[in-house]
Amino acid sequence: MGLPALEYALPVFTDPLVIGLVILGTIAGVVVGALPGLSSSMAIALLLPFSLYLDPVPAIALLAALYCAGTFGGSITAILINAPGAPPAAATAFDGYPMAVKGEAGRALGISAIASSLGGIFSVVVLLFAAPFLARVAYSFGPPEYFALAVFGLSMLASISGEAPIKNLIGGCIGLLIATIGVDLTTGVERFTFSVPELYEGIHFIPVLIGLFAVTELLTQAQNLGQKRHSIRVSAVKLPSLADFRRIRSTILRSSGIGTFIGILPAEGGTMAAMIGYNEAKRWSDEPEKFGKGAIEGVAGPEAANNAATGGAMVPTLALGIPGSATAAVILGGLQVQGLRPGPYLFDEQPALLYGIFFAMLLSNALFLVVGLAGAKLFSRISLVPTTLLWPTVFALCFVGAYGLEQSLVDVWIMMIAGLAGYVLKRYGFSPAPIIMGLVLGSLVETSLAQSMIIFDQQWTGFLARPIALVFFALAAISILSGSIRALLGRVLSRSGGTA
Amino acid sequence: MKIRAFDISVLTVPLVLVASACLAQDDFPSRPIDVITHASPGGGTDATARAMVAGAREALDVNMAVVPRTGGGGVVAMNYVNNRPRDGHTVLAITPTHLFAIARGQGPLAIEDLVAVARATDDPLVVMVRADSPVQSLGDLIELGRERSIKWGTTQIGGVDHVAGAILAQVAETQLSVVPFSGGGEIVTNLMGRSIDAAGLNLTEALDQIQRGDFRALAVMSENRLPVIPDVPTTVELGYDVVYSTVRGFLVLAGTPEDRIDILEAGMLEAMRQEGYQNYLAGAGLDPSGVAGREVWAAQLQRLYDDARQAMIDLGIIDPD
Amino acid sequence: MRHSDVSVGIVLLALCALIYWLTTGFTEVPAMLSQNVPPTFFPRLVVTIVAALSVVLIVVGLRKERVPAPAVSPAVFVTAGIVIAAGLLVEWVGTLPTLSLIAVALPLAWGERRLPRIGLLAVGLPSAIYVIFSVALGIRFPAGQLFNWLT
Repeated sequence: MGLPALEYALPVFTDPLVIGLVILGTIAGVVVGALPGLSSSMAIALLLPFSLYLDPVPAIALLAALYCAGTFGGSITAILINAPGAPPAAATAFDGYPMAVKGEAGRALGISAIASSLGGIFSVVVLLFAAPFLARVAYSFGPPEYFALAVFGLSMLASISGEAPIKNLIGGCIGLLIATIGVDLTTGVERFTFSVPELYEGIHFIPVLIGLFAVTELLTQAQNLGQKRHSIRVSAVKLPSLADFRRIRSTILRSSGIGTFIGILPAEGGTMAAMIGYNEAKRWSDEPEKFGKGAIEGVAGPEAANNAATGGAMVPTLALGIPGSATAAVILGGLQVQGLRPGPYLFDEQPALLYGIFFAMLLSNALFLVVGLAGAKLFSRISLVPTTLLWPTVFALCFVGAYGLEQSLVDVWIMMIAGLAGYVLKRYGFSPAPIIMGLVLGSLVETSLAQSMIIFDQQWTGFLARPIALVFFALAAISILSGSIRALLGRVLSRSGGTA
Repeated sequence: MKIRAFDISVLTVPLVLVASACLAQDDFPSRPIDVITHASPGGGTDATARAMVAGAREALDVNMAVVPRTGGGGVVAMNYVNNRPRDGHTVLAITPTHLFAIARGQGPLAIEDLVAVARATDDPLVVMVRADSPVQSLGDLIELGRERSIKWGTTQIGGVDHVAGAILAQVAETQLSVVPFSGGGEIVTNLMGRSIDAAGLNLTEALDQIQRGDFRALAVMSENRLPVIPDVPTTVELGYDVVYSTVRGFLVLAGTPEDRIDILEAGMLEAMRQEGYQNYLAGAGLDPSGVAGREVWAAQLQRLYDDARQAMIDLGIIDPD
Repeated sequence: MRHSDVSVGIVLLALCALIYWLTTGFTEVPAMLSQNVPPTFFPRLVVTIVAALSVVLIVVGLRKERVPAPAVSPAVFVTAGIVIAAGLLVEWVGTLPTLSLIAVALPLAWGERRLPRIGLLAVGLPSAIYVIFSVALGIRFPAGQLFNWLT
């Protein structure tokens, strides 16, 4: 693909309707993203019938803006009330909420906004210049490669959150077990469904997430009622200071790359990108022990990654017609409703459309920085609402959010059970992060292994012939060993320091 | 007095019912119509239902909503519809997946409970391989399977493309290993990436790859050739009576008043003939002939069910009883 | 029982046994798929790992001193009760009335005594949710059995 042809780009970039819809989509996206349980994919699906009344370019611009802004919006509630507005923001809560508790909500929101915006813009630029080429990467990822990638993801379990590696591993396994509920993809056998048809297709990730974070937090708030309250004060939200920005700059760059790459892989969306982005931020940090207690890199890492995944996910969606994430799948549906068939020809036949999407995503990524910073004062009013009124409202939103996903009461029960179990687990020193990680990777690790074994005619040696898979296995091994080597080194050093 | 009052009430109850039915007849649809799908937003069935609803809102002059009830291969959706009044205000979007579920005895409904309203799309399965594969024809593929088992990509165990492949292998006396994926897009990538040998994909899912020359279509699992790929033979022509297609359509449950079904049918057909829906079909690479009325759709529904049941028996998934 | 981890480990071991027992009840795989990785393989593998980790947890816990955790405040039990009650109620009275009841019960349980505020929340919360989710986004909320009987 050549350089942007201005003759196509200019009319799109200056169309007041497109600009207006992008502004509208961005504001709506931030709000929808911030509300727990209202996901941008749902909002886009609900908007589809109305987008029929628009021409293709403005229609897709609106949907794309919603997608970008919705991904950022999730971080707002993750930081302020520990209730991620959308799954990709789960990792943001690990350090964002501790920052808010420390009275640094404004700083956290500022970092989230700038990291999201830069990550998003990075990926959109990649999308514009390298889409047809990068789309081919997706083809080299078969089941064995996905299995190796998932193993690499699981190798982070022990280190993902602080103090108790054994409990982290157990938590991860609990997540893996929850992921086995439902019909086994490769044999069609029902597992742990107890004849509830709603469980045949497995437990949805979103109700578990809402429960594990928001309902668990509700119960924690109940425990702390009598004690002095940490009120979350957002005095002023502003762009990160120069010192802060210097600290997170390399994290943002790294996460942008990770997020774009993960986004390009079909079906691996922002959630996995954010998890890996968080982990790599921690691994490369000089002070990994500060993670989970309010490290600014812990906010920048996942936020840059999950927004970079939006541009990444659009690469296979547009270039191959294969959705790069759940939300991208709905946008793909939107393109089809407009009578367009995404694929390699789309770029040649519809250059205006490509620039429309590019422009909408670029503008939206820049706009939500403004909306996020300006609106943060408004969001911060949340902290002025007394606890006794705020948390019933949050719980009601969780309730509606879990229900709204599939309009199923079973999901509401899953949310509640996850919340109650989450509280008990938290009390005994298990953190939600590894459980979420296990849940995200669970079905991927199992089905990709089963698929690989069929492809290899049940011979384990088949993996040896897959170089990309071997690279990820090696990375996983390094990830596990480096942790224990560092721990060992630390112990030896502290011991020698103690005796000296 | 008491007895008389009782008598009157017994008499009036049916009267009231009849009266209200008459009343409803005059102003059907009197409240919003729900179209129940088994698919998550973004899937083919969801997109089809939404495209139909967009036009039918005007055609029927009533508010309509697509209501997802996902899970259990359509069982959740069928449970839900079964618990709603059979008054025409609840419409079920159906695919072969539901029929396979019914054939396996899952869910509350029997084939007799389904009353066809209108067909929305007919999307036949096409057997395809990578273009650089040494396999040139369906015969080659069958030969390959006799040497080593064909790696056949499919979307769901017990789903239409799984059964299609398994029955083809059985009829052609060849071996096939089913590699399940969670969607058509994944199969396309894995076929491109050489992880699998062949797949039975809907035309919509791989038309681009065929036209661009990345995939080679070996056979259409249908009785008639497809206008978009006129050079590709059908399985029937090649001597294998294996006909499978992802058909999507709308239906209501038995007991719904006939005149209301007629109103629904007329409204839906009008909606699906409009530009918006036709654009959707064109965009998805589907043939406009997929839209059909009650009679065609009812006959096909029954045939699909009989075939599904027979296939399940042949594959040993269900017992004939 | 020197440390709470010991009891946590024992509970986990019991859970592992229960889950393993559940895997023995899976239906049989159809013959044509029997060469695939069996559906019991992965759950059993994970359960075995959890069991092994639980043993480590117990052994390590035995060596540690017990640190008493702060007692669970009654408010937590009341809150959990309200959460469960909401789930049970919604089938009967419907979503919006349930949300209204939550808006009354939770603040009361948490010591809020300013009745006008509670009243405002009880009316405002379901109304706002109805406007955003039902009117604007077209999500249907179940009306509840009680409502079905009344009409």
